[in-house]
Amino acid sequence: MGQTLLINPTAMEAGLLASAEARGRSPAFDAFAKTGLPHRRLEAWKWTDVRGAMRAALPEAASGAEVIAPSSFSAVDAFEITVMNGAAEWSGAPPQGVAVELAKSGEALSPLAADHPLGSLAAAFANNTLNISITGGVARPIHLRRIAGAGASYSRVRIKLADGASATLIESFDGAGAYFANSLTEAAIGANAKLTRDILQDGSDEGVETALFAASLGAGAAFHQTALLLGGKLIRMETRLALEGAGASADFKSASILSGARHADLTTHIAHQSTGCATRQIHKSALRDRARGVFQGKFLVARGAQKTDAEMQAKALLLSDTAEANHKPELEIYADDVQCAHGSTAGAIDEEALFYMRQRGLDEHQARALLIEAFLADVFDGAERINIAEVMRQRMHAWLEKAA
Amino acid sequence: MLKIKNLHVAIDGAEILRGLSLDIPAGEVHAVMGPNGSGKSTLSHAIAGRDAYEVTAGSAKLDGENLLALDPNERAAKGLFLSFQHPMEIPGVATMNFIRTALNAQRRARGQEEMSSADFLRLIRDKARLVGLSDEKLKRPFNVGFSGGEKKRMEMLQMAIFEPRFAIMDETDSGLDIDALKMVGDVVNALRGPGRGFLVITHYQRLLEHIRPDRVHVLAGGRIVKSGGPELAEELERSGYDQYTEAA
Repeated sequence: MGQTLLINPTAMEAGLLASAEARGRSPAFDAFAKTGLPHRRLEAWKWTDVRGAMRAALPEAASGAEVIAPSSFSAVDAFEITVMNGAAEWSGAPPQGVAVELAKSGEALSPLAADHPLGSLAAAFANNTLNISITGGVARPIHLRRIAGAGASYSRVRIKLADGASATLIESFDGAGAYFANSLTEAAIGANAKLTRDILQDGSDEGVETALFAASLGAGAAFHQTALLLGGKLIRMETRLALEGAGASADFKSASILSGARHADLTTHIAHQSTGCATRQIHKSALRDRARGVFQGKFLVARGAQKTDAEMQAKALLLSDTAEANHKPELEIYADDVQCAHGSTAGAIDEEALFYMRQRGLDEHQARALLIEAFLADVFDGAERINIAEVMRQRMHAWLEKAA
Repeated sequence: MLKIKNLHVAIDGAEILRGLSLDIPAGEVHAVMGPNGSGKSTLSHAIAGRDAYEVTAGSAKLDGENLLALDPNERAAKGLFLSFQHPMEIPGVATMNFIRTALNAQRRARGQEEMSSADFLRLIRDKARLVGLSDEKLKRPFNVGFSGGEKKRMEMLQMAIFEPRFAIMDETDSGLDIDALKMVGDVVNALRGPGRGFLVITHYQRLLEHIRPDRVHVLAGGRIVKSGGPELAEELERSGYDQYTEAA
C-alpha cells in the first residue's frame, strides 16, 4: 500500500503522506496512495497532470479563513451553503423538504467513487461530511458556494433524493491565489426523482481544482447538468453516473471558455445499466491563447441495457494557433439493441461569416464575439431555470468582452 | 462617386483582376456582365475588403476616399453595401439582433445616434413586407433553413434598411424566380436617386429588365473590355460572351 508515494513522492505527496500519518491512516487514504496524485501516465489523466501541476508542497488551507468572493448568483434566490476552504456553513433554515447536517466523515466511499484517487483523497482528508437529503419537490435552488483560498482544502458532500423528489443544485467554484481544492460529492437519486445541477467554475491562474461528482439514478430518475468552466491552472470537473434503474436519463450541457494558459477538463462517465435509459450530451469549448480544453466522455452500456439511447457531441472552437483541444469520446457497448452515437469536431472561426458580418458594419471584435456566442449558445438554452442560465450568459459575455 | 482605377487583385498569388477601371457617377446604375471566371466576384469582394483578396496595384475611391485603406466595417460605415452572391447561414445568431447591431454599429461610426428598439422594429417589419419575408423568418437564426431565394430576400432586406450610398449587387438574380426578380427591381428602384449608386453584377440580362442600367460593362479576363448603353446587355443576350473571352 502506498508504494508509489513511498518510492518517489513529490514534495506535495510527501506532505500528504505526513498529514495522513498524523491523522491516522484510513482505507480511503490507502486507496489514494495506490496511485498518488494522478499524473499523465495514467490514461484517464493523460491531459490533466495533477501531480505535475503541484509538485511543491502546499500546506492545508487555514480553516475559517475568510475569502472574499462576490457570489455570481446573488440575483438568484437560493439557499446558500458556503464551503470555504472545505468548511461548510449556512445560515437560516433550508427550504421545505431539505435537511442539511454535518456529520463526522469516515463512511465508506460509494462504489462509483471508490477507485478514484482524488475522490479517495477528499474522503480521507475532509474534516466532515455535509449531508443533504431532499424529499418532495423543492423549487428553491440549493447553492453550494465553494470558495478556495491559498492552500489545500478537501470537502465531501452526500446528497440523497428520495423517490419522486426534485431539486436544483447550483455549484459555484471560485478561488483566489495558489490553491488545491479537492471535492467529492456522492448522490443517490431515487426512483422518478430529478436533480438539476448547474455549475459555474472560475478559478485563479494558480489554482488547481478537482471535483468528482458521483451519482446513482433509480428507475425513471433524471439528472440534468449544465456547466460553464472558465478554468484555472488545472481544473478537472468529473461526473460519474450509474443509470441503475430502467428509464433513467441524463442530460449534459457544458462549455469551457478559456484564455491565457488556463486549463479545464470536463470528464464524464455514464454507465447505462438498465433498459431504456437515455443520455444526451453536448460539450463546447472556445479556446484562445495557449489555453487547453479537455473533454473526456464515456458511455458504457452494460449487458442487458437494451434500448439505451445515448448521444454525445463535443465541439471545439480554436481562437488561436496555440490553443489546444483534447477530446476523447468513448463508447463501450455490451448490448445489441441500442442507439449510441458520438461526434467530435475542432475548428477555427468561420472567416467567411466573419467577413459577412464586417461587411454589414460590425467591427472585427463585435463580429467574433457574436460568432463565438452563437457557437456556445445552445449550451445555455435551458428554458427552465431562466435566471440561472442568465447568470451563465452574463459570465460568457464578460469573457467575450475581453477574449473575442 | 465610385472610381476604380487600374485595379489589380490576386488570390493566393494568382492575378484575377488585371487593370480594371470603372467610373460610376452618383445617381447612376451600372451593370457589369461577364462569363464565369472573368473576375466578377473578385471585384465585389476586393472592393468590400475581403482579406484573401490582395490588391497589388490600382485604387478604389468612394467620393474621393480611398476605400482600400479601410477595414470592411469602415467601408460599410462609409455607405458601401455588398449583396452577397452566396449569403451564408449563421446558426445561433438571431436575425433581428444581428441586423440591429450592424445598423447601430454603422450609425455610431458615422456619429449618428443609435436607433431605438421600437423604431428598429417598425423599420424592419416595414421593409420585410417590401421584400416578402414573413415575421416568422425574421425570428429564425440568420438565414438558417432559408432557400436560396429567401437568402437573397434577406440581402435585399438589409439593403433596404441600411440605405447604402453605394451598393454592389453580386449576382443577386441567380436562383430567383420572376416575382423575386421584380422585388429586387422594386427595392433598387425605390432607393435609386441622386447621391446613390449601384453596381449590378450579373450573367444575364433578365434582371436588367427590372433595373434599367445607365451603363453596361463587359468584364473578361480581369478587365473591362467593352462599355456601352443598356442595349449592350441585349446584344450580349443574343450573341453571348464568346467574342470577349477569345479577345481576353
